[in-house]
Amino acid sequence: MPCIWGQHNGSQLFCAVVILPPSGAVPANQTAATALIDTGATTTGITTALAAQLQMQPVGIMQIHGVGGVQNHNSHLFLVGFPFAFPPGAPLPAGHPPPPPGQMPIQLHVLQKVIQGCAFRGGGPFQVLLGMDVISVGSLVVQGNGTFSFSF
Amino acid sequence: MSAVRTKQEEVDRNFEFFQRELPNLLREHAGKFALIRTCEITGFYDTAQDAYTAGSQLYADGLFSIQRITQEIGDLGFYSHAMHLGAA
Repeated sequence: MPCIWGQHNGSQLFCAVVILPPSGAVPANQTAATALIDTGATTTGITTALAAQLQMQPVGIMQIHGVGGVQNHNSHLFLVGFPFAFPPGAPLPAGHPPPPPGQMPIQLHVLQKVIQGCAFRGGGPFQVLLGMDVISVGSLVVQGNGTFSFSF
Repeated sequence: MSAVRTKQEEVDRNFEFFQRELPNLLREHAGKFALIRTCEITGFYDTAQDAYTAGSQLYADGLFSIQRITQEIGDLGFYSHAMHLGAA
């Protein structure tokens, strides 16, 4: 069971994710995004800027509570992947491409659930908001020593 | 108006249609995912992925929508209650 872990600041949890098409194919230009883990969100969202960057097409409309009332937002289908760095010195699996010079080799663990998430205008320090549709698939542990883990 | 529909136009029109039909759909298909093309429902599926797979196989131009049959309104947590989301 894959498990990510990180440090929290006492008020918010962030982690790195990769947004993939429903097919699971990893685009050549794929880059990691920063995600806020939010147990108060029922649905996962991605910023409109990230959706445009990934050339994602809307598959429908979702209604979302907003400050001014209910708003309509484009929805997208995608998979959420969590990048892991290989331990230093660990051998790479057969067929795994070598990392660019100066970078750590990364492996990707993908949550095996297609998410229908909404697009929203960002502007904060993250491009993805992970809601309970993702969190409830696994186990999220937040600890008092300033760390958290998510296994799935 | 262009004769070529864009994906955004398709999902916007399909959503207007879906909203009108939702009260009827809830009676027999609550919780399912509707596959919609040109304001017509062409199938009901248990998951969004199933609907997407069917839509991709049936419509090579990609012009279709997937709408979950529910009255629930989504919530983006902190962003829903403290930030202006901006419709997208």
